Amino acid sequence: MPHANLFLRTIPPLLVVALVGLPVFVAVVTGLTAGDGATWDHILQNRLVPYTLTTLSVLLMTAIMILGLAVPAAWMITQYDFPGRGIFSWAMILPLAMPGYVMAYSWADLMGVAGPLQSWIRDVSGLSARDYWFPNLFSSVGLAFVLASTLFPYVYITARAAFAMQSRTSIEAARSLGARPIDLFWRVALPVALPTILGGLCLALMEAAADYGAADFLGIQTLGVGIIRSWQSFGEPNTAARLALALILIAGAFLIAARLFQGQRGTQQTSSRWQSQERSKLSPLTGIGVTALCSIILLICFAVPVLRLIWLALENRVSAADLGPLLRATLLLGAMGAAMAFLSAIIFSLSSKRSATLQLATRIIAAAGYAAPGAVLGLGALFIIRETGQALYGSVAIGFLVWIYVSRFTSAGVEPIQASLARLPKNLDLAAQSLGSTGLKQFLRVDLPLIAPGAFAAGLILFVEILKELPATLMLRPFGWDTLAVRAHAYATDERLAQATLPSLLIVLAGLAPVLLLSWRLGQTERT
Amino acid sequence: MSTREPLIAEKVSRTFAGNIAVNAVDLDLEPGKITSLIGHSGSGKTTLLRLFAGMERPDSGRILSGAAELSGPTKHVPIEKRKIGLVFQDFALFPHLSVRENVSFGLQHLKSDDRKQCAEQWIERLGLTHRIGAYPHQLSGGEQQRTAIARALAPEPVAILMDEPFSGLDPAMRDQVRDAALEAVRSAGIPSLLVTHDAKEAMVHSDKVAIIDRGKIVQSGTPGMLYKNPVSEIAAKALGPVHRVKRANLPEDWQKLISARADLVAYRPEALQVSAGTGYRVVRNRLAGAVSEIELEGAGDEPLFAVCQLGSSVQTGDDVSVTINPSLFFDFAG
Amino acid sequence: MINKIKTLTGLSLLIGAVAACSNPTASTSDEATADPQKVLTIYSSRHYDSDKALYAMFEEETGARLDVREAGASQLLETMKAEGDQSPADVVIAADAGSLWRFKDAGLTQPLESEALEAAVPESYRAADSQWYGVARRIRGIAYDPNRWDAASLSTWDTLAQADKAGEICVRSSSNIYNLSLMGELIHRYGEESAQNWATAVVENMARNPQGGDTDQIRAIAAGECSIAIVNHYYWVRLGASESEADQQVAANTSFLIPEFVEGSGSHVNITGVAMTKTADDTELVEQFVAFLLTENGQFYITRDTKELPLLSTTPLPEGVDRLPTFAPSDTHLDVYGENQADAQRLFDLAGWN
Repeated sequence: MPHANLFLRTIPPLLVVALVGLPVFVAVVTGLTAGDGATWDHILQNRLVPYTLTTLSVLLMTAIMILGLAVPAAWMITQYDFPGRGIFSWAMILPLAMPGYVMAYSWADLMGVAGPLQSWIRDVSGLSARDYWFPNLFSSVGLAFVLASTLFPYVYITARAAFAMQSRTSIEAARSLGARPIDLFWRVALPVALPTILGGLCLALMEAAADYGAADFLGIQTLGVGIIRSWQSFGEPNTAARLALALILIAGAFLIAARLFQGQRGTQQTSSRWQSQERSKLSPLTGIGVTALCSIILLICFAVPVLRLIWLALENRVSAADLGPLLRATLLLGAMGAAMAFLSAIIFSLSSKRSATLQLATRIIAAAGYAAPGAVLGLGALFIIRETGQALYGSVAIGFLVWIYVSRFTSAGVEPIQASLARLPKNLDLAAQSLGSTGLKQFLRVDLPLIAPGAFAAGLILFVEILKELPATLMLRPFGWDTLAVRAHAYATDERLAQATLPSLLIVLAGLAPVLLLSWRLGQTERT
Repeated sequence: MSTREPLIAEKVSRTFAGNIAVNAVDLDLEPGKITSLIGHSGSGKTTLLRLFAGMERPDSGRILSGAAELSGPTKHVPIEKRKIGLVFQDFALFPHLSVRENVSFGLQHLKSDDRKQCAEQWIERLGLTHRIGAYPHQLSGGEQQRTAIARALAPEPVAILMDEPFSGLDPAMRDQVRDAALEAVRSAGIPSLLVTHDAKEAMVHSDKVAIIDRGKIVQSGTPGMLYKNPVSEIAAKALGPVHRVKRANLPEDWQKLISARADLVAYRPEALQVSAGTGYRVVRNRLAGAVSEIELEGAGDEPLFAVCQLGSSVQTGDDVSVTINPSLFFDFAG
Repeated sequence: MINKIKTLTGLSLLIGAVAACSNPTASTSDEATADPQKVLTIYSSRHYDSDKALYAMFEEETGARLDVREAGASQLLETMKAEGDQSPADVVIAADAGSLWRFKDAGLTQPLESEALEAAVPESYRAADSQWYGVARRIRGIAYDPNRWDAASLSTWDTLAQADKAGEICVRSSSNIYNLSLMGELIHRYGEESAQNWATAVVENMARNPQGGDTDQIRAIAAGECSIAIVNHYYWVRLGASESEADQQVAANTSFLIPEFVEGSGSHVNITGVAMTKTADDTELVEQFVAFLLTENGQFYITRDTKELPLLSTTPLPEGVDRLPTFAPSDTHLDVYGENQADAQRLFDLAGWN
């Protein structure tokens, strides 16, 4: 009987893994096996290296900015008391609700040569546009900034969790040995938290690598842009699929690096019983400085762009006429996609508990889906649709779209769930098994309730991500299922940013609720 | 070189959310001596340690190092400036650093060579040289605690405070680790505080014992003194078992011997010595390691309790005679 | 907690199942008068609010229902390829001749033979084999600062390659279909080498890296960052017709002209067009629809908000469009744009035109 059991237990997970990986696989295989065009030679010779270098440099700058935004803030908020700390503790996650392309539209409008900032400079100084220097958002640095400002909350959450897990006694021991606040951060907390933080960073960077909307809008020639360009301008989806390989390779490299980091040092604290942090006070001056820093971060990464959009909407008297159906479609697709992706992530996490190889394999497959641009996954779906003779209509289209969401976003769900699982004491599994509960039952009765906060967080992240998704939704949605993202993109790319403001703001609003819930949840787990 | 100053708590109080955790406590920690602070959980012993360490600020009273004020109404020196070593029950080692690196942590002010030498010395003194490159998760509990102590002592602190440092260890190895650790502590010649709930640990290893109950120091003195002359039942119970009996239930000759005059007296079980004879019957005999706890029935209404050595052949149902050691009978006012 | 998750999951799946079977959009029409109701499925790369009025009008007139899917042309193309024979699309509307050509090239369209339509639409604005018909015109031209340049110095496209234009030109990314189509005609007229040289020279004359859309380029002129921009006419017209005073100011401070290739050659003209798909069921209804687009009402609504030029010269021009200078179309057939599109992108890439 054990063999039959094993069979039964491995098949469903394998099926799910296969489903998640299929669209990427199809897109990649099609890309590899379809014929070369004259285009491919051109791309290979003249564009592949520049695309790749640009992508890597943008990713590097994004990584630095993300770490700079997320880690000090997470540390301050975990360790110290300062004015407004309570608010910042949840507010820091707000930028997660903003898609990168919306951030790009808003800041481009603000910083553009015809925008309010530069106009004010010209009015006040009498200079003409070519006489003064002003930071240019339409640059690699600008793109990195836009991506970092919407993605840093991932790393903020991870860093908060990591810092909150420290033993209080470790910190007190360090202080008794003369460690100043900066030492506590650099020499004690950060080294221990680093592997976890880098894991979160990888997630964020994979997301950044797959971006198309912001890079295209800002005119930066990344691999993502190149992929769409070879599809649109050259009319060769096969070439697009090949370029996607390069992106998936980069993402895979990130993932492997993260695993290596996490394997190195034990992140387990030596204490079996640890107490949660008591926050220390800061001197009034330092306290105000930290408050100012956090305020600036939030202003730049959330308040200002949102307010600008609201202002544009009001100034242009944009009508809210047919937003209802858009909102409904967006929320329904988000809920369905999140539920299925969550289930998929659970199954991935479950099956990866069996062996380390299986774990690595599932993570790679999930990561490949996450790293592949939505457009390429959509392509994969279209290839499959063609081969199986379907029509992109009604529930078939929805089914495929939800499938693509699962393929793309399972990874986003797996990371937090597996991180939570990893934090559980190892004896728990054995204790449960000794009491007769194994496999799925064990997971449902023992693991899941314990990792519920992490699992809940995963579900919420999935929902927000799907809400913001653009390319795959553009390609696969059936009639009547335009989402807010689709509409915002349509207007913005047609230079009607004013009309794009309302759908964009609604995306942010709809994404706020889960983000705030997530933040509240995190606050709860911290207090236990 | 640090001068060996005592660490003094002068009428310190600390209240949390309306509950008085530490109530006007005076306690001197003398250099070169190990002072145990013993009490049950919630008695305030950990809070007092935290006040000494600078992790808490007293609501009133002062903490001094010799004549220098560390905490007071106008002043509070933060932990990182106090140079007081801390050792915790959960070891609190830095998981990302090796033994050597952990011990070197507080030695950043030294030059690289001196740092290396100092760390190695202390590691050797605690018997950890063969583990110098290992990481905390690779060490046993005893090795971790010895590392923690080496780490605390290496920077030559002005005092060392230990919060139940040995309770997390295997009982089998506890004695060995404790001996090595406390020897190193003693040799440093600084005031040392050992917070514990283990009476035996306090008695065997410390030079001075302070008993704390509900935020107040009930009694302090040498182990011997406290054992033989507890001022209250709480003080007595802190250091060993104590039994109550009505004076009237004791034989006349005993009543004449003991100095206690109250109707209800307390005594330590070792006050009763059991030998072959008659007068009392052994009702129960429980083996408790090195000694047996014996319940006796005699002329009086209440049972009496004694301990006897393992070697003796006293069995349940035997008749024995009992003599007393009057100095171990107490009478507590109030 | 576990129960909550189970409930939530179950609920979402239930919602999803119910939703998949229903259509949450408000239908653009009431109950049809005809029985059974005819449905025309449109795949359109346009997304203008005025199109909604257009469709509503057609629905009212004919009693048919219009199902409209709006997406970028490439996405529509890929979708239709994937849908194959099962595709519900009857009509494709695309905002550039180059796009229409790609649909034709992929075998997704079929000829719509109609004497009436062929009579209504001039030859230069429809495919030779009637696979697509133009329904509105759009011109790519040059917006400029009149204080800096006069119309004569920008009268042809190669003036942009001249050295005196250094640091003066703003233009959007080369991947945009409008630029690709223009380049398509340049390749057709001058050959690849000259076209690439032109592109290289223009890149050297650019004031900044290509960024933003056409409107951003015009605004950049008003802000002083450059003095010449390559833009479609209607963006300039829309600024002038905007409710925002700032926009009106921008339009007032710039001028617009329509260059030729050489004197007398005529200008680069593009169209918004429609094509009948291979999978169209009701060809009569499609013809009805196309014909409707070419009526005065249809032409009015197509161009009202977009500010394109109506196809039919008899139709009154939308407000603001009358400010455009006169022009004559060049004799290059519009299918050329699509044929040369891949080469156009390649040459742009080689010229460094991002």
